[in-house]
Amino acid sequence: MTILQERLLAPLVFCLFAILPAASSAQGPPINTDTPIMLGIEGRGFRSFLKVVRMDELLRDGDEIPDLMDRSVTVFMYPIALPYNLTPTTQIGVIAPFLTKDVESNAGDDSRSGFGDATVFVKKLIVQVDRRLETFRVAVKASAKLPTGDDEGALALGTGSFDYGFSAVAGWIKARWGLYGETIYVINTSDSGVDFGDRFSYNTAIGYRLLPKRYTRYPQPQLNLFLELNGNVVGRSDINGVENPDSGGAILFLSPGVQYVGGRRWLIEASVQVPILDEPNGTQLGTGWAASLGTRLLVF
Amino acid sequence: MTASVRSACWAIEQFTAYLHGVVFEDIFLGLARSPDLFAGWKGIAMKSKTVVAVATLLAASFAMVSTAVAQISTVTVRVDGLACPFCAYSLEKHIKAIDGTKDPVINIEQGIVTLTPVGDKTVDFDAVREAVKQAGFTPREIVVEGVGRMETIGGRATLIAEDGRELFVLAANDVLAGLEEGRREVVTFRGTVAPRRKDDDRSTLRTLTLLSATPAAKGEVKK
Repeated sequence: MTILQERLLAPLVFCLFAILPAASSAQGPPINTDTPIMLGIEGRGFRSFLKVVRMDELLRDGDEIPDLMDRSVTVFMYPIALPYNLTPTTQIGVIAPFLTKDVESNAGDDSRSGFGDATVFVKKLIVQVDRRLETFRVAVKASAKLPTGDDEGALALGTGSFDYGFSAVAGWIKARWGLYGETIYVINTSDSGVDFGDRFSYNTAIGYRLLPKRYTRYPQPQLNLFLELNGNVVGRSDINGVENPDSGGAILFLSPGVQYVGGRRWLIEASVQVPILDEPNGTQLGTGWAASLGTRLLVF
Repeated sequence: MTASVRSACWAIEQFTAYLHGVVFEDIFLGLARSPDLFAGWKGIAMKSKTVVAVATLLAASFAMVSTAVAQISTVTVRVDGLACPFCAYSLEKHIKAIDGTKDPVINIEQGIVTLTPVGDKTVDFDAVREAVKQAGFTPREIVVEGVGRMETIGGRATLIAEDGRELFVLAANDVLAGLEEGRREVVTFRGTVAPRRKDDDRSTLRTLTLLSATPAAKGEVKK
């Protein structure tokens, strides 16, 4: 592993965890955006999915440059999320990810698998406006990422730090349409002299029930379509008090998705995330694409 | 038993001119709902005039026999916020847990859940509302349908459904006004049950606002 590789990959570890919580904490119908509607399959269930993130373009200040080492990184994430409604307005939960990271380059390949950093969260509904066939809700959420993943080596599975997130999410559903919006701020603390920059995320989603056209008696299978925008802005990292110019940046995904609700207790969903803005600071690998395939089960 | 109680209520009506107090009327009407019988007794024990009335009630209940009985066939609750089918599981789960009802049918398109009373149990409308709240939704009006006997008790229009377990005070409206001459008729009715007032933890009575009421056909009335 060369010094350049380590410089490129260390921020990558953080960037992956920047993507993960936003995706795995999405409890609602939107696939990559959270929801304030903590009912039914979102209330007391089990959610898991496979998410693949492919990074294979070397960027300098947002522009692609030749990579003599022809590096690429593929990350497979299998987060398991368990939300539980304490009350109709208060939810707690835990997210435990399993990760596999594969690195390929002219200098050789490397791979590592294992459990990453777990996240615990509490979500509280603060606004509920119900009308006939319509609901608007707002929730706030606090989360803590625990250093449960191994943070040793360039292909670390965890960041080694306790990180704290605060978010607000709003959702509106009426008839066949749903709109969601979410903002997240994550305060990253330091570990072993490394302090990853704080992260600001913003997600929006629009959902449409394609089938059935008329939903009369519950339950009926349904097919939902989603179009989401998922953005992250990450600050530069500090290593032993020195700012790393090749860290942090901004990325915005356009994320179409499809979801099939098969009954009372389960659904399957898939989404592709294409970066429409990818501007990492300095010289870093850019994200080519991401995709997820997952399921949610109601277990309680 | 219920027929007797209902008959007793009729007997008590004769005493209202003597007792005068509206409070007593509430107590008498409340007696018709068996789950609240003892609550009614508690209030009664403190009022000597009422003791006389209760004795009369009991005597009348043994002496009189009623012929017509009726029942609530469906209870429909409008549930606001019921916009997402994937959310409905929690509603179904909480509604199913309500004692005295069966087979809840959730209609997402109309935002309603319909319950069927089971056996001889009374529908606890407070429990229905609470179940909807606990499921994460907002309960609105509860509409009941069934067959019942209209009677005037203590000067107030009432409707007694299925063996007297459900007794409603009828709110004045055009539908009721149209039935003025039909008092003591058995009717097929549809009406909205008013929520219990927050400051009223004593009354066992429910107010029903009739949406429709027509004289029941013979086949609709059980003997």
